[in-house]
Amino acid sequence: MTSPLRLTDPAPPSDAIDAWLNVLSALMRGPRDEVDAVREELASHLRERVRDLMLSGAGEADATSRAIAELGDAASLARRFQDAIVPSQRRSRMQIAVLTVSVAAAAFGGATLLRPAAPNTPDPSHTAVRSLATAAGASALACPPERGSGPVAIELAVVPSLRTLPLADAPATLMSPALFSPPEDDALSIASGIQATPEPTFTVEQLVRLLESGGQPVAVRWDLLEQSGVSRDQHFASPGGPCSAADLLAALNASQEHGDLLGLRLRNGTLVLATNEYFDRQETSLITFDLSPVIEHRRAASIKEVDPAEIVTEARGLVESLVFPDSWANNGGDRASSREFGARVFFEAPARYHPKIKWVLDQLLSDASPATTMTTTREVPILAGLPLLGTQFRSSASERLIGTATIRSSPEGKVSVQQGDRTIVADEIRLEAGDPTPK
Amino acid sequence: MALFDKSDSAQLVVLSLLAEGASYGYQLTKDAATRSSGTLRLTPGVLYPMLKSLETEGLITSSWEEIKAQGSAEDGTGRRRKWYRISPKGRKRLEQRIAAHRAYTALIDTFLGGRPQEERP
Repeated sequence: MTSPLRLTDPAPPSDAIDAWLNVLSALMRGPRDEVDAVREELASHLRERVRDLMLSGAGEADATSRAIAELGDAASLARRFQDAIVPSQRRSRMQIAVLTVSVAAAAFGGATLLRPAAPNTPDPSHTAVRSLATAAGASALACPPERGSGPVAIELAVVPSLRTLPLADAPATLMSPALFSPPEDDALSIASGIQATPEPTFTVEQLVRLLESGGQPVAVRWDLLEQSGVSRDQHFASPGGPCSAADLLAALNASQEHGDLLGLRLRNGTLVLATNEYFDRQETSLITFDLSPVIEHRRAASIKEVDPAEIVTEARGLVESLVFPDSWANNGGDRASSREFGARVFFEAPARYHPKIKWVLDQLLSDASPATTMTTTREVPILAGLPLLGTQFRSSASERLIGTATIRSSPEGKVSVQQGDRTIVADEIRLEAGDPTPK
Repeated sequence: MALFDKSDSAQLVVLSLLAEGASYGYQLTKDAATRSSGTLRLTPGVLYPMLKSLETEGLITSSWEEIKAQGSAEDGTGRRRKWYRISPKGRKRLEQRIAAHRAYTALIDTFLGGRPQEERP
């Protein structure tokens, strides 16, 4: 007789598992089929694990949460998968770059070749940076110290191509100030000014009396506190030493299972103590971010075609995994949700989430920004004399340059070298060790 | 139960298990625990990225197998399971790793073997 448990097809408590896998998928980069394969494999693992835990006596919900917990943090796991997939791609590119430089160095007798990207390469500026960096490393091999007179500092300034110019026009913040409304509340600063007499423990009632001693009317939503398991005579440990009412509220929260259970607001001159869930529902509003600068940056930095929708989904998943993760609808919560439209992402979330969401997305922007002004100085062990050979259409011309030069990539895939008011533009620039004495 | 997440040793364990026959992720975690009487835990958060990495390196290969759900229609599609097999390159790597491991163990044993016995009172 067949077991009613149907062991070969465990009934999946799929909501929590799917929600967790959704977060992981959103955080993973890489080809869609790779991400889908990882998702399918982990879904299979989780279902088998849940089945085994249930067979050993665990309830379905407990088995599900334990199985998910064993996989660990979704963001860390996504990173590990990323490292497992991406390094091979990076290694391949680097080997090609090193090979190019080495062959050139051999062909030109210890010279270093700086080769800009081909005109159809998506990102001439970044390719040039990589080439320069690699070339700097290779030239150390190509020019042994005994041949030269020591390292010379060359400033490598990379000017963005047209492809990255929109970044220069990007607003300082991704968020429209009109739509960004952080909680405007003085409650915590008032509570910070109310000093408590040091005691080892306090009750919630004592905290309320302390708040009242500040001279401000105090209203407490005892019904909500009690629903959350907080009673008037509940004791909690003092943070120790001189402390304020705000410190005591933080200590009370820290003593709870969820560290952000209670909140304090100033409403019409009255201090209101209630649960954060209560305030969150009152303070939920819609904010939106335009991720175009991040998409542009990723497009410029990638040699492959970039799907803007994937980047927006990735950014959205990042926020939902870092900012109060349990509260998002995609993660099984009911306090916050998000939607995408083109390059925009909309978050409907409590106001206290907004600064954190903004911070996370600003990190993506700050990651994007350097491309506009990227300037770096590297020590390149070459001779003091720095002759340059420009070649164009198979013709070539020698130029001699001594001292600091600025090397830029241009949108057409060319490289320009500037020293003072002199500029040389070429498809390819070769640095050769030469006689340090100017002729 | 000891947490086992040293990637080098974990790779050695996984390659050894796969050298005995094809397997899949969850089975590998169970085999590692069973073989070590529960003292070795191959955490899934480490195992699956490592399998991906071994596959990327060409040390193992994979294929999908469809699992028919019990009671489902004959033509119904069930879940799929990803099976892993060690590749010839993986076997060679495993042999090198085993040799290195044995050499290391033998080296350490020369020190431990020469440790003076405690003097009895």
